[in-house]
Amino acid sequence: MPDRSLELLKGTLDVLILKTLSWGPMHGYGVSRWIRERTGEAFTIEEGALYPALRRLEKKGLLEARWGETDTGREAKFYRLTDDGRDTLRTEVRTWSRYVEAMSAVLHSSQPAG
Amino acid sequence: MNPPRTRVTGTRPDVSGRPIEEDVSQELTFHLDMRAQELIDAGWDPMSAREEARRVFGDMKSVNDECVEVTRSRDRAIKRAHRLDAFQRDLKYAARSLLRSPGFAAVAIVTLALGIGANSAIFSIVNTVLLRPLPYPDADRLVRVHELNRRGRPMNVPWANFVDWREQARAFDALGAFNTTVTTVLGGDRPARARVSGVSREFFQVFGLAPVVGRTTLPEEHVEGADPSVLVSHAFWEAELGGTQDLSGRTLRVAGLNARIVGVMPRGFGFPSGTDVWFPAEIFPQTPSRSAHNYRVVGRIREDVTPARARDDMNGVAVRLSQSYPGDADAVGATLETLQEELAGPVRRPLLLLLGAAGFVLLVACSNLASTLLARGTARQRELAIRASLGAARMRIIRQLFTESLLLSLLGALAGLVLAGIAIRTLVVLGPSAVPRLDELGLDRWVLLFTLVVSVMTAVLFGLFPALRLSEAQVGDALRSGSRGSSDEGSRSAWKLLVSAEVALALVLLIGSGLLIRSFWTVMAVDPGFDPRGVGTVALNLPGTEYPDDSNVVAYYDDLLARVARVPEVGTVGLTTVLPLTGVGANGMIEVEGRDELGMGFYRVVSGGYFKAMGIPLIRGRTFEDRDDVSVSDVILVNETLADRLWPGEDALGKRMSVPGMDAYSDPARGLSPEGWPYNRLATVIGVVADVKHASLTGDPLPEYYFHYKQRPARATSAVAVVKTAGDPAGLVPTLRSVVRQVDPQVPAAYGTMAQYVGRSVGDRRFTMALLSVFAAVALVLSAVGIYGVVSYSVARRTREIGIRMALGAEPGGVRWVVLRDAMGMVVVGLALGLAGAVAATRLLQNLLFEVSATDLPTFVGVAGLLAVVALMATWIPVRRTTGIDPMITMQAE
Repeated sequence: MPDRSLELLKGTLDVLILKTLSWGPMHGYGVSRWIRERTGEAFTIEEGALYPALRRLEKKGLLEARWGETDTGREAKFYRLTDDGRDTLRTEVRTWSRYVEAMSAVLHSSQPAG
Repeated sequence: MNPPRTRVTGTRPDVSGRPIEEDVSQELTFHLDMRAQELIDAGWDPMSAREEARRVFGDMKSVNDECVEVTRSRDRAIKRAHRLDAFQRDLKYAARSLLRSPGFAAVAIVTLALGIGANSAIFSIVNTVLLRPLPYPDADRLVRVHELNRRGRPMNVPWANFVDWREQARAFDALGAFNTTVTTVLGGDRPARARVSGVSREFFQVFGLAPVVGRTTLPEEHVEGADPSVLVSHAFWEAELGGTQDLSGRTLRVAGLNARIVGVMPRGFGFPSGTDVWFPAEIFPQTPSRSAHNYRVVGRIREDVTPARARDDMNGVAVRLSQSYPGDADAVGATLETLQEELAGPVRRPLLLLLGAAGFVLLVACSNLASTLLARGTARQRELAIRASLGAARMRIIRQLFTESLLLSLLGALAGLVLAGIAIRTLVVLGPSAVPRLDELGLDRWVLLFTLVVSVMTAVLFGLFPALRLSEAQVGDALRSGSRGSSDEGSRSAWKLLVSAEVALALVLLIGSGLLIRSFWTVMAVDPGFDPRGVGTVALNLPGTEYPDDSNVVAYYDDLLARVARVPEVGTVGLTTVLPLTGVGANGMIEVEGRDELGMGFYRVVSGGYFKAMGIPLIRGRTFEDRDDVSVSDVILVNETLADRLWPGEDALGKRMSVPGMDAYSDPARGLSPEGWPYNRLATVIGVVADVKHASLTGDPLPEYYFHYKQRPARATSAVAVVKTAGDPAGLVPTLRSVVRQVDPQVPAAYGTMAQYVGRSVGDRRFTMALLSVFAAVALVLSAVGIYGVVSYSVARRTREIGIRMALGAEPGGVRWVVLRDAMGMVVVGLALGLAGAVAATRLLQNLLFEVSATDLPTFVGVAGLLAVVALMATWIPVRRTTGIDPMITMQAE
């Protein structure tokens, strides 16, 4: 189904951002590109939606932001996971894994015997 | 997830340092640029790449706005956290600073505790008595209804009028009539003296309370001749009926009836006056007279009617009635007041006065602390100057100084609440009976809220001014001129003002309490007309069922008086129906033989020994003797006031009079009076006795007449035996108790002493006087401490100056005189202000005073003198230290 893109579930973007930043500090564009590439462009999101999400996470204290320079010498705003952010990511990952396992178990099960 | 403030503490709100809008737009622009570049790298032409980048980005404007909004709210949260943080730091700093000078902190907290505690305690009384609604549903709609006489005074209500009111008044959900008496109740676990109230049909509806056990009386029980049924109070039920749930078959013998107990009212309900037993008033025939003011009336105003309209409605009904019965009805109208107003009425003024006095104490405490803080602040000026030079804004320093004051004030309030709690517990025990609802007294949330508000206001009052003044200190000056701050002069004049204010406030309080104390002495010095020393009292109630006839009653008292007289310690024993200072008793018309116009007098029934036991002098004639019984014609004693009124300039002895309608000893042969009363038998005056204060020590003597119990026993089923002894009458109680039991164990008795009744009659006066005096004493001590503190400090500050003066040859005496003159200057200004204030303030005391003018010169002069002496002493102690100053040492010290 090449034309059917997945709608992003509510709250999923936050987890994706946290996961992306777990590799290290990154600017908004970097986060957006990383998500796009890693998900095989499966999710259709308006790229702009990323930025309010980033700032909300910053407000919650899960991210820290700082202006810095990119490799090419351009000024960009970099985000970094805080300790709280890391903790939250761990929790979210566990939740997601359980969710996915449970769903998979149901969706892939064969017809019950008898 | 953690709240933001714990996370971002210490970081600047705007991390980038740039304005939020710029921060957002730069970030978004960067994204679009990078995205376009990515597309160009993938082979797009630059134009289309830009467009594509914008397309996949979505709505630029809404993203931008949302980012700005989120960031703003984050900034706000951070700022809030910072403020809270700063306050916590200030608080810590304040606590440390107080701990560094524990002596100062302790004195300040005690000072504040006294000031705030006084206010909390008085407020809790005011709140309970004047503000808190009565414990009934929608209590604000409960009213007392009175008839008005021609002079506009409220009167009780005749039953016949009440019945018409109930039918005609439209403004009420219910109207209830009641009257009340203390009498004997049999049928409980033991004979009991209990307050018994006859109440009309809708009495309980007025209060909106349901019984906790059983039911209220039914309408069919509120008719003449119905089987009597009664309700009892919760307290009576527990004490006398063992709190049993099963009331079936339980009866009480009360008011000459055998009554079924049908219900128990909820705990705490005892209207009126702590009633234990309520019976339907309608079971007895009620007089049709419209001038027999025997009932009091309560009502519940309808929800949709204002009290003013209810009053108009009631007055209209009353006016119509008085027009319908012009011969009989003597009321000209009716009025009402809320039940709360009625209960609190007599204590309202003293309570508000005490609240004002407590406020004064707090003001004294505030001036005291303000001057101490100024003094401390001057010493701390270097510290403050250094802080300022290190970049602390003035606002910051003010805030920090004020936080110290607030901390002190809150600690003071806490200690004050402890004091108030103790005071309240004491008041509940010792409080005068006239203050209603003292049993409900306590530190509830309103008192706590009041205390919090007061303590914050207090902090503003004593802390803000010093904080403003001290923060003014010019940084450079303070550092340059060494320990002496540049604002020293300014502070000194501020101190003077504060000390003068303290003295003035204390003087007003002292004069107020001085006037009350003088009044109290005057009242206590009033000759009551009897001698309370060594007089014990035994209040007796003969149960009507056991003593149905006059002869039973006479026999009982004959036996009792004879047996008591045989007790060795007893000097004299007597009997009276109305004990002085416990109430005025019944009054009514007097018919003098051969005259048309009627007199008025108060009715008492006594024994012959009564006058001797009470030390009431016999002026003329003789008192009663055993032979004055039913076998001879009636005899009577009158007091001087009555004798003067009825027979001015004549000898009362041998005159004859009767009291129509007052008792059941009528003379059928004489027919009825024009008013419809049966004429009583004429009684011959055999003696004149001295006046006695019956209503109160401060009232005028009443016209009174006395019958002998042997001739009026029906009026004497409730009476008090008085016993004169050389020793302590309280010690006689066990003996008297056994005598009363021997004569008839069914008769309940209450024991007391005449001295107690005298004390109780001045209880309210003593209460106001004692509290005001405590407040005045606290104010006196506080202002003495204040003067002492300021003078000590000023001596310490001027040590160098004094040292120089002495080095230059000044005599220590001269130097001392300078300091003393300075200090006494403030005191004299304070005294002048205080005297002026007292003239204005004591006018409020006027109607609490007795034979003492509100501007009583001896009190004003004496109290001002006392305060001056105390101030002089408070000044002298520190001034004396100047003698010890060694010029060399003080000058080297700099």
